[in-house]
Amino acid sequence: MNPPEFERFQGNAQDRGVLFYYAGAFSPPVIAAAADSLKTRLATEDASGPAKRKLFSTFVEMAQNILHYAADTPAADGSPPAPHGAIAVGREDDPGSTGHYWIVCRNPVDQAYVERLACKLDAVRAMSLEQIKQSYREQLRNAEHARTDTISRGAGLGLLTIARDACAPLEYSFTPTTDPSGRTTLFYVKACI
Amino acid sequence: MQALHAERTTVTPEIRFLPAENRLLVAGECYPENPLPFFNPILATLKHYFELHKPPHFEARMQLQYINSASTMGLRSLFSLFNEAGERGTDIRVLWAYDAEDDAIEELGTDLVEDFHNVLLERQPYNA
Repeated sequence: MNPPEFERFQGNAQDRGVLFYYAGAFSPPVIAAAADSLKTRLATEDASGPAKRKLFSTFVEMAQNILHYAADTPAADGSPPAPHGAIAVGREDDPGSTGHYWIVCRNPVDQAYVERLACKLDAVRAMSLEQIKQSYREQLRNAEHARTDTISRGAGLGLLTIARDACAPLEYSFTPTTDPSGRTTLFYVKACI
Repeated sequence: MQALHAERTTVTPEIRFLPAENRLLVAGECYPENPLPFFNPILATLKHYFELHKPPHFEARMQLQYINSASTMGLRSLFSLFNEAGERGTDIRVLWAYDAEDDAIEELGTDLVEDFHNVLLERQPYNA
């Protein structure tokens, strides 16, 4: 990365309104530290208290989802494989957008989870805010669900929490990875706040 | 009965359980990645306390600035314990303090007591 390259990199990030970006291994200490620095970064933003809280909450839920569901990526240095992913938060400059901020994450997931995740996302995307809140209440009451559903350890509460705070339906996509085994797919989610 | 005290951390709130005063205080932010190691000791201590002491009244004061979805399940278990104690005759009051601007925490209080008819929730909005 020479000075002109770094300038281009910075310019791109600035044009996109990036406030925070992290890519790499996800672990509880990394998430706690990242959440704390995002909070400090947001303190200087001219946004309402509720908008800042929604951004922080969505960040934590997305980061913890990566930790729980991302397919483990082997580390270059020979340390044990760990969940990897990327997460970014920024200001929305597109005048056509309903939100003021965006938050995106992307991580490899096991091919076997793709259909299940797509079904869940489609179901939540079709819900009104009132339906999202109703579904949240039902899942909170239904604590047993968490023990029987091994894929969704959080009983879907995390996804509903993200959807509740978003000002538009969540966007998602799956794209092939460079993984030669074909075992994983890249899972992308975007929320507007 | 031993009092229980946990200092606030970046991802867990301060907890003070004062059995001599029949009170529990929870204050701070709660977003551990795995909530079980945090909630299990509190749940076990309170379960034992309610069964052994059958206190006539109990007051929990909760002031959370933020809670992640995984931890709401831990809180629901805590409220379930309160409700069971209420069924056995303890007068249970929960003082639910929340930032007046924060709909999420306000609504969580209501959601947590849903179907728990032996828990009286007192809402206490404050201006941050």
